[in-house]
Amino acid sequence: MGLIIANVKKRPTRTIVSILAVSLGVVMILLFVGLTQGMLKDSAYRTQNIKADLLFQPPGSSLLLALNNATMPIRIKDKLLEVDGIRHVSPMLHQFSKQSFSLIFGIDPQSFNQVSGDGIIVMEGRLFQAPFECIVDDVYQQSHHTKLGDTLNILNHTFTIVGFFKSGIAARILVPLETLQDLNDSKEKASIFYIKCDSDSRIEPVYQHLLHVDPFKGYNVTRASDIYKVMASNLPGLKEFTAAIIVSAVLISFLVILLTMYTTITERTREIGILKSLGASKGYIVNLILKESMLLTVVGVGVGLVLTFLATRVLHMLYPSLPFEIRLEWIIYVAFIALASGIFGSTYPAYRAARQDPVEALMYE
Amino acid sequence: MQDIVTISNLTKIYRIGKVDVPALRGVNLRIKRGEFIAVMGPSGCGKSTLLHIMGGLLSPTSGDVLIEDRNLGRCSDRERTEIRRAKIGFVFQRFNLFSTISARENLQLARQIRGNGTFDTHTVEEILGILGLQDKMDHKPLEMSGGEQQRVALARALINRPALILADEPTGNLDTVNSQIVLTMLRDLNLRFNQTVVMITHNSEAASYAHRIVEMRDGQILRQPRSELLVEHEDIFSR
Repeated sequence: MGLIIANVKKRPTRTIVSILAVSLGVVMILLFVGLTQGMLKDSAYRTQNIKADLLFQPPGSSLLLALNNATMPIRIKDKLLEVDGIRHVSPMLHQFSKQSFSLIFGIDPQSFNQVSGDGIIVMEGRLFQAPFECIVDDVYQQSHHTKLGDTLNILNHTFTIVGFFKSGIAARILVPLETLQDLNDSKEKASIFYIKCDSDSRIEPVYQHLLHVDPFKGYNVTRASDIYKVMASNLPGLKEFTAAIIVSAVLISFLVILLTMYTTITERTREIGILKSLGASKGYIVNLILKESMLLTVVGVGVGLVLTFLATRVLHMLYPSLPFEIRLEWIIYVAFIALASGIFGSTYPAYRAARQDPVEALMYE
Repeated sequence: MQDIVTISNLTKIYRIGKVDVPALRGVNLRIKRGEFIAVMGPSGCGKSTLLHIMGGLLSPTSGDVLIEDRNLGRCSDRERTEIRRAKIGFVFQRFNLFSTISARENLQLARQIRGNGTFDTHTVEEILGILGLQDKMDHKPLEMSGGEQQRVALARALINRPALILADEPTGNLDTVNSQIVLTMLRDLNLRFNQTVVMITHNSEAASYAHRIVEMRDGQILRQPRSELLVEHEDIFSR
């Protein structure tokens, strides 16, 4: 171990670059996965907290509202209320705000509270009553340092903030449904109908009815309990993009470790000759090189975890509403693939070192 | 005394491009256990090739090289490595210590490669005492003089108590004073531990420390004069 540590310390710049390359891969994967998983989970959590039993959406639309603008006629609400087992239906129209990088929900407070039960808990101020009034949640309030009476620009119109509601439900900004319909050129339209059934036992029959019976056949219907799963599976290209990030990170680690260990063994050709003259076997030399790359990789993973932690703290300070979820299983997974790339990256140099002719190695200048 | 090295009809031909270059042409040599021999000859006469083959670093083209009862010429690379690890210690002209670790760690590395438990602490202390290295053990090679480095290299070669020490111009990089110190130590260690020493040298003064001088030219051994020291040495062991 003494020789390995001494070798690593001998070329500090190369060691630092190798460690940073491995840590970059760790940071890339964890930040990306943490952000996507966090956003998905946060979105699912807030949707589930509406406490609707079913979500009814236009055909071909996605639960990831930021990614779709599909709407449907609001009169469908009346048809839905005619279905046996449905007690309440609340329409919602959404708009993605590029300014605040968040979703804005246009809701009808009366029907929304009917579906939701607890409804929207206003902590300060009041619900909107006029067309260009809005309420924001406490996370938005803290991150944007807003106070009652401040204004928000939505679709080139000024809204006055009249209340702060408890976060964890729907969106961060809520406005009157009719106002958003007007501004969005979606009069008498809705993005989602939140459905409350008579009882839990009625959820499945209603769900099956909406899936298979006209005029609802073809619309997207989701059980509240399936929201996260459906969201994760509906996000277009998520798996592919995640795979691309992982492959890029693995390739960076692999290539840097390969290059580092390759230059290392070239530089230490003579030392390998000395080891052979001392009776070191090929396995011993392979083991030595692999251990050195493992040391670099393990430190790289550790540095990567620290950098990821620091990056999430900084991002959280800059964008308090940005949700991250970095789970232990992903940390283990990332550590594993970083170690694997380290092993694979050093395998060829280790093999080459072990195969070196001892006499030629001893004569190497 | 029993032979520790028996070399018969040894040839080594290097292929350089399409040309065969003979380095050894039918070498025959017997070396007794506890003997200290010097191999002399001009550059390119095959001294180093002979030493490398005896150390299992090179394989011969033909002929037999018996180290005790093992024929290196018929061993696999793995077997030659095992023999080298168990029976042979090298000392080089350029010391060949690991510069990034201390003298103690250099010795520990040799122990680690050999595997623990084959020698006792008393022997280690004795070797360090003879070599005068007790207070230098935590120094890195570059913090030592050439003579001290070569003594550490000697300690490393001896620490596993190999039967055969192969020294390739061990005084080639040393001044006269340090050369004498290292050669005296090599001879003392040879006497103390009865380890066989084969030393390559260009220097006839260095060769005079040996029991026997083997002269080589054009890949062949010319003559093997018996030195008075060998007579003395045999006398000591016979008693």
